Amino acid sequence: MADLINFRLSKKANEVAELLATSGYFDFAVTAAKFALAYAIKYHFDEINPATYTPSDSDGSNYGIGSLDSDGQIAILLKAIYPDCTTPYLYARNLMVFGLLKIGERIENEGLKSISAFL
Amino acid sequence: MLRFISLTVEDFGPFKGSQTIDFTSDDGVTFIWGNNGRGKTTLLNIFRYAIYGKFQNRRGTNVNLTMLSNRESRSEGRYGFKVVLRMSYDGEIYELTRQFKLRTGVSRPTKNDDYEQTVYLKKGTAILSSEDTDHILKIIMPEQVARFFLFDGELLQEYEELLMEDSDTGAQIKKSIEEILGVPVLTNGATDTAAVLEAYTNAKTRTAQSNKQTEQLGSQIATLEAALQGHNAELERLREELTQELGRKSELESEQNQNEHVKALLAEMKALENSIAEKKARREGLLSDIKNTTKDAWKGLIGFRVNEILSDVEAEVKVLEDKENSQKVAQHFLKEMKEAASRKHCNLCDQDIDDALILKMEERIKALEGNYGGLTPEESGKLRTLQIRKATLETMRYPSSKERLEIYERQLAAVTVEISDDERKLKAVKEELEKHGDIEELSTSMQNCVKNLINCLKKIDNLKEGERQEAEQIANIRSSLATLNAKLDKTATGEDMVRARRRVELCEMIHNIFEEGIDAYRNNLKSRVEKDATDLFVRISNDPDYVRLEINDNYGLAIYHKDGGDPVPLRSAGFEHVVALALIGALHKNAPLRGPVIMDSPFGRLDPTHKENIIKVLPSLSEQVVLLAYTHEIDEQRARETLGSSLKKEYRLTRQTSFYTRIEPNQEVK
Repeated sequence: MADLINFRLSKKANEVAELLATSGYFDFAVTAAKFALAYAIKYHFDEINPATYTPSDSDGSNYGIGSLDSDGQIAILLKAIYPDCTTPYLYARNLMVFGLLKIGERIENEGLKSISAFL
Repeated sequence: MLRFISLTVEDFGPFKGSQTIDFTSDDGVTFIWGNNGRGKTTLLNIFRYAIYGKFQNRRGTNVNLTMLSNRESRSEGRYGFKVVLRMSYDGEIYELTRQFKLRTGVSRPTKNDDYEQTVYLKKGTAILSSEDTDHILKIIMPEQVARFFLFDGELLQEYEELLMEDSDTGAQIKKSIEEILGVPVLTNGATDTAAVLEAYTNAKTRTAQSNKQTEQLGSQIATLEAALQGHNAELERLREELTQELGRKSELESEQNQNEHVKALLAEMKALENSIAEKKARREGLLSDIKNTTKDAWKGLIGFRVNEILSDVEAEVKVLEDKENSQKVAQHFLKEMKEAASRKHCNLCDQDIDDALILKMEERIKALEGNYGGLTPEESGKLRTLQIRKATLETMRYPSSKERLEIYERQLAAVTVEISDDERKLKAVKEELEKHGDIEELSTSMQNCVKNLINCLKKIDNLKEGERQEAEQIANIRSSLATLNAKLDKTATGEDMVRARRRVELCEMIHNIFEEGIDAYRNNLKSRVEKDATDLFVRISNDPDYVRLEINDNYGLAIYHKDGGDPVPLRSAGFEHVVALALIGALHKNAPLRGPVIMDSPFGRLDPTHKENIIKVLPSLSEQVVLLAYTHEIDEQRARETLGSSLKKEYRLTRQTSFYTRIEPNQEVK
């Protein structure tokens, strides 16, 4: 299966990414999405299988892989974490969407008072 | 006596809509409570405006009528304001209305000329003419004595000047004191008799001129009298001008003080704006630091999971590497065993091996070769993959950014709170500044004020010098006239001259009665004022060692200690207030003119005991006393207990919004 070259977040996940960026904690929404990917791996590793997870929609913004992973580190990381992974950017998109939704749930419950609380 | 019945204020200052304060017809005290910014001083100024039609704003004379209107009313399209003061005087009921409203055709005012003022005074139900209105108002509350009826702590402080020699303010206060005490009745008499005396003196001179015997002397006297008249007129002109200039100086000084206050507010505004800008820059810097940190925060986040996976991978690698290593060790051992079997000699123990053992060794070697067969090709491949994965994961063990971000966030929260505090302060300062009118024009206004004050002071110096020179000239002429008149009296023997001389002498005697009467009346008044002021002072001062006040020619009051000696030097600001209040009380007691006393926060620098003592004497100051005080300036409950039945009414100025204050009857009155 071919990996992604561009990707779209789900609408809801995109909203969370935009919220994080406009809050002043992140320079761009895609940086917030990358943060959410790591958040999903840290806190929800057993809840998501990025190989099979399917976002509810793809109505969010479109991003190029270059803007997400210009030095290829994300792909290397994901392959190291998921040894069977052959489509790291598909995994990345799924992990980002999942992580953003989880962060969104926390923001809804607790508000967005700090970003260090998510670390 | 003048007594206020009620005051209605409409859309003036913070008082939106139409609001009324009802006073009682009984003698006693009314309290109006209000915190800073709620409109106490505006209320005092509203009374002043109602009675005199003049404003005393914080910037002095340049009143912007639009700025005086209530801000919220303006935003609702209502411009202008109205004040109605109902009062009683000598058994008659008066209703005075002053109103500024927009001229026809103006919907949005840009200048004072866009307003027109309506003033009318009703006596009973009849509206008086403007001349009668002016006349009645001058009788019931002359402006010259306003300071004894409407005052605040700042004005009380001015009474200190009465103790100073050659103080302009002191001289003005003295004039006002004499005004309220009725001294002008006698001084006017003295002025009038002086005018009659001058007329008779002139008549005598004319008589002398018409007589051949005294013609020459008469002409000399006439010339000198004409010169004297000229100098007297000039002296009078200089005095009038000096009085005006002194008034102007006082206004300019007051404006200057207000400008200083505004200047301080502007400096505070600037400092707050700078502080906010600096803190916002700091906040931007912190946000930038946070953004830089969150760029790679994902790496720190995966650190935990990487370590966990890495430890699993390392375990798997270890199993395979152990298997690979044990095969290598076993290979070496087997090689040694095989060599020993083939040579039938063991190199390790250096002994020969018999054939029976060789057989056993060969069986053992065969078995061991099966046990230590090493990694299968699949296992070798897996090991290589795992080793690569392990190496990759090891490069991904980044430290967490949590601690660094927490520090930034704490700093960010602190600076955000500081900005919010500063912005709140800035808003309050701007609101305060707005009360002072157009800030943009302030700098020019301040420069003009300083310039005008300098010019005014120069002019006062010149006028005083002119006054001194004229007085000197007048004294010289009078001396020459006295000599010539003495010569004339000796020379002139005609009947007409004798009659003229007698008329002058009679007039001189009448004039002297007035002059002496003024001194006697003044001295009598002073001793009465001194006594009454001492009584009040002793009741207020709370110091048994301070036994009396002594009045000077300017009505300044010095405090004397029970041990006698010199007056108490270096009185505190608080004691100045006490002395000033004692003086005002004594003046009211001895003045033919009586009316309500309205005081705005006069307790500023007094301790609780003095405050309570002043509360005690309030009913002695006047039949009707209105006290404007901020909450906690005095203990409200204690004040009520102290005044007892003398406290007639209480109102509270309550905040509805920043620009809207309601005057409400105090609910806390028991």
